[in-house]
Amino acid sequence: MHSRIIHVVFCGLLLTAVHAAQTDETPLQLASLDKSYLSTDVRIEADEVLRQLDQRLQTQPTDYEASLLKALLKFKSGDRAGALHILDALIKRAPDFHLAYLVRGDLLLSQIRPVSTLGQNSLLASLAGQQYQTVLQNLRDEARVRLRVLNLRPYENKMPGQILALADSVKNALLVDKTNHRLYLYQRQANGELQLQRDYYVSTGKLAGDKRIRGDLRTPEGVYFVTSWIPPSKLPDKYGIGAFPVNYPNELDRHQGKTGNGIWLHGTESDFYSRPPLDSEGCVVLTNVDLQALKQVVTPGVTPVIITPRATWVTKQAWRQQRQELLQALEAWRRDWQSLDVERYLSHYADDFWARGFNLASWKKRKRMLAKSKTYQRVRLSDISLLAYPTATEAKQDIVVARFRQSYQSNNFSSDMQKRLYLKRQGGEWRIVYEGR
Amino acid sequence: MLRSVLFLSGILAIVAVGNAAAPRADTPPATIRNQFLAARDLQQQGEAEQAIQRYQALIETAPGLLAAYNNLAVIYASQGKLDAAREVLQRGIRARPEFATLYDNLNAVFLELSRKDYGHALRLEVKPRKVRLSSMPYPHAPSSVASVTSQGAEETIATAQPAEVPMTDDVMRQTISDTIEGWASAWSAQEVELYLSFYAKGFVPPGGLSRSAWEKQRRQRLSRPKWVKVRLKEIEVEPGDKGMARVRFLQEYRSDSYTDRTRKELDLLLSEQGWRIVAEKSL
Repeated sequence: MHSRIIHVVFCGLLLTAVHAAQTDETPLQLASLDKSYLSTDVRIEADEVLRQLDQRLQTQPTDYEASLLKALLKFKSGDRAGALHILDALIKRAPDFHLAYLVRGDLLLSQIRPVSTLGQNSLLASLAGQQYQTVLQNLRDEARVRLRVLNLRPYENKMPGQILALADSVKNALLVDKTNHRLYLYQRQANGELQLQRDYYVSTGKLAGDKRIRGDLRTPEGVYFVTSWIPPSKLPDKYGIGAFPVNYPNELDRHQGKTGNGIWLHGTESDFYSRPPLDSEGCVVLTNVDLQALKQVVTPGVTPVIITPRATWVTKQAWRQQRQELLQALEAWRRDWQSLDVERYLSHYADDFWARGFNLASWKKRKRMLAKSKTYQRVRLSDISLLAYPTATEAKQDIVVARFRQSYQSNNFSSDMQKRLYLKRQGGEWRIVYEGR
Repeated sequence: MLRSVLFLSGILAIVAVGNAAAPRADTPPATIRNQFLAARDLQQQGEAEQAIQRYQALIETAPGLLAAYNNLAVIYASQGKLDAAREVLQRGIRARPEFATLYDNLNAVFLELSRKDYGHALRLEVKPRKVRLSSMPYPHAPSSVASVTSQGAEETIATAQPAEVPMTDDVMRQTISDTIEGWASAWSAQEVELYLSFYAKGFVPPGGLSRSAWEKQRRQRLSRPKWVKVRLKEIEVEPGDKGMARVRFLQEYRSDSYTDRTRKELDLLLSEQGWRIVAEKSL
């Protein structure tokens, strides 16, 4: 079995006269005319990519992006008939996929004259006046972002650096990469490891960067949880088939003085299949088809959503190590708390610790006072999730959110509750910066 | 679906190895076949320059052998001479008027479909344009067809005798009126090359003009107006002997700048390519 190698520089260049002389020995070189279109230059196996796309379509027939990418790949390799066949079928099924029309327009035009850059030719220019340049640029951006998927597969044989553990009661987690406009759906396996289920194209805030204040058109970065589901009947059309609000601003955001609210994962308005990459007021926008698929696995109040400027993937070994280190840190805190040695217990808290109504000093005071009444304490942690903030945050510190069930028993008090700790690496040790429910 | 079919036919028109050669009367099909095979052998042995010469000569002898144009283009492309490849492929398409018409029609359809898609992509109000395609005359069956398939090592040659359409008066009348309708629609579409292809090699231009001066004049007159509409009425066909025929009709010419009605008489000669005009005069 022989496979052709395509030099994939996914750029505007959709067509070069790739000649019939594609013998098996000749590598198919598709050079880029427009480097700015996509700078990543990776050699990929064309057959392998097509196989992956076919697999995507097999598991999810509504994966319209896979169809589009297949068509683009065929277009680029000179198989215009094959590309057109796919696009015809795609447009029939997704009649509001504007990008698909643009590609098919190029494909048809390329029969007559050379088409070098996606959506850039004199015919199109004669149809679309100046006021359409933004629309056109948006479509090109969407194509560029979607095409990146083909040679960006950083997650292969890796673990998501932001999802270190999911509790037994949490089946899935969502990881958003704002730079690449992808949402990755991970599923917890029986052995605690995570398996990538699917990834989706998403639109994010009009402006890049972390959200700070209300109305800044940015998508926040951090560890969040889906709080509820709002059905379409209660929403204007622009939200599509519904919305999953997340808990922005969370404890850390509020502590840092961040403002604004109403950050949702939501669908797309009717008459549009998708939206440009940078298009929302801060929400994470999915196509309706994709949101419908996510709806099956997202549980309000449970499913974490980690939004990162750029998701990181680590080797399994590094992932296990980090996970172990954090579990040990939690265990040390639990053990020291249970031990009745209040000073050792308090040594787990960071200098800038806060809790609702407390700073470190008042927290210490209260804990020392409580400790005097204890003759016996038993603390149990279970159902632990560990979710890491993106490492490249402005604070440049590693922050991990631990969420678990805590059963506490003592000679004079007992409780059973959901806990949320924010841990921060300080001087080589993990310290608690926030504690709450 | 229709589009896929058109698309495929477009591809076929462009790259398919021509399966019908209409060699000149003086070269027997077997000779052409051998010349073609020799060229192909050279090509496969990597003797590019020699193969190029053979194919070029073959195009001279058998202008209808599309495989020669195609394979010549393959060599040019492998040498990186894409302009030469493009030129020879285009020449191949033009070598057969019916292919040229099909190709041009397909392109017109592609263009309009492309406009429509761009309109959808940008949510623009794109006014649909009427796509005017050229009609084709009834094809004249060539006397012999050398069917050449060249798929790798499996070189097979089939010399097929197509079912001859008996040239009864009725068939003759039909093919002649199809031909001149084709001539008129090429004119209306301002497809100069196609229009000129309706004239026989031996056509004598009116008014003592040389062939090249006349062609130049026709090119200008066909392409200058913004639009042209030629309609033929009252067509009378008068079959003659020895593959000759005479046809008279009323020609209604309209363009953005000029309108007239002329009675015309064309003399036609049946050739390998079909009926061709040998004389044209206004009555």
